[in-house]
Amino acid sequence: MSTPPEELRLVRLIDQGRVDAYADAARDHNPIHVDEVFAAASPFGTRIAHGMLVLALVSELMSAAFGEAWARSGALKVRWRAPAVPPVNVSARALLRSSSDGVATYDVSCEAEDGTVLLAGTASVSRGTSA
Amino acid sequence: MTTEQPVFEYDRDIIGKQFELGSQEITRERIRRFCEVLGETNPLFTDDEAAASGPYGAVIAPPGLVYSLQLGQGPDAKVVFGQATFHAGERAELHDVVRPGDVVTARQQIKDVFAKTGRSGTMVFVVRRTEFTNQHGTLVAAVEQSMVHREVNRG
Repeated sequence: MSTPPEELRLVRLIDQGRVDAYADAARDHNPIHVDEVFAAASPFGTRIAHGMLVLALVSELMSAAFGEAWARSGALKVRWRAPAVPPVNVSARALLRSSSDGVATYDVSCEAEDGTVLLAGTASVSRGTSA
Repeated sequence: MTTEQPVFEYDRDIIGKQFELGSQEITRERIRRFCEVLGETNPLFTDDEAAASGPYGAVIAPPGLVYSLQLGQGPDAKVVFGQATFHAGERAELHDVVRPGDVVTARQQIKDVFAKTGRSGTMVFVVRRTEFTNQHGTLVAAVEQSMVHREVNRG
């Protein structure tokens, strides 16, 4: 079996248009994401992207590298560090931490363009044990 | 009794009780729309022609679509503590692929409610687990979401 990639990376613009479209697609219209006036009075003081929208970038990275194995055996564990305030170029990254017994484990993170860490955690995927 | 013990109220009886949130068909259109919104271009989720000769005979749903499905109000632990609520963390497990036309049912329980006291004060965590099964009763994904209730810093 081939060696899992050392590093995976993608950058995606999350602007308010994408947040609004995601709210419709995911049927999550929480006003903290879409209502400017409501969000201004929230602890964040502004609209923020859905956490699941940001997390989806990590899933996208893992899908790109592992395909259906990710859909069948993936595991994600993340802590939210800061909200993503649109518009922001979010950089998602996965760095191989270990690979043994057919399981590849990555340290994953999403960062804003100013270096603010939005989420951090681990992702692992079972790649089977066949040679 | 020490006064260090954090005091908060919640509905203890709700812990571990499973609630069905609802079911939804994952249509081809839903997958297409999700990919378009996210900017996801992986042929596994987008290319019908290539997928027709693949192991499933069709595209599959991006896992992010499945574990983020919102299918109704879950149980409420009625935590009375603090003035602010934030998402603390997320765990997702993927178990099987979801194909267009599959009907996914979500069931949710409050797994745990606990307090932690650190340098920034006391926080109360509520952990919800949502399990997603398909029309054959197969578990396809599960997500555990931690919400934290805390007092707003006064300074």
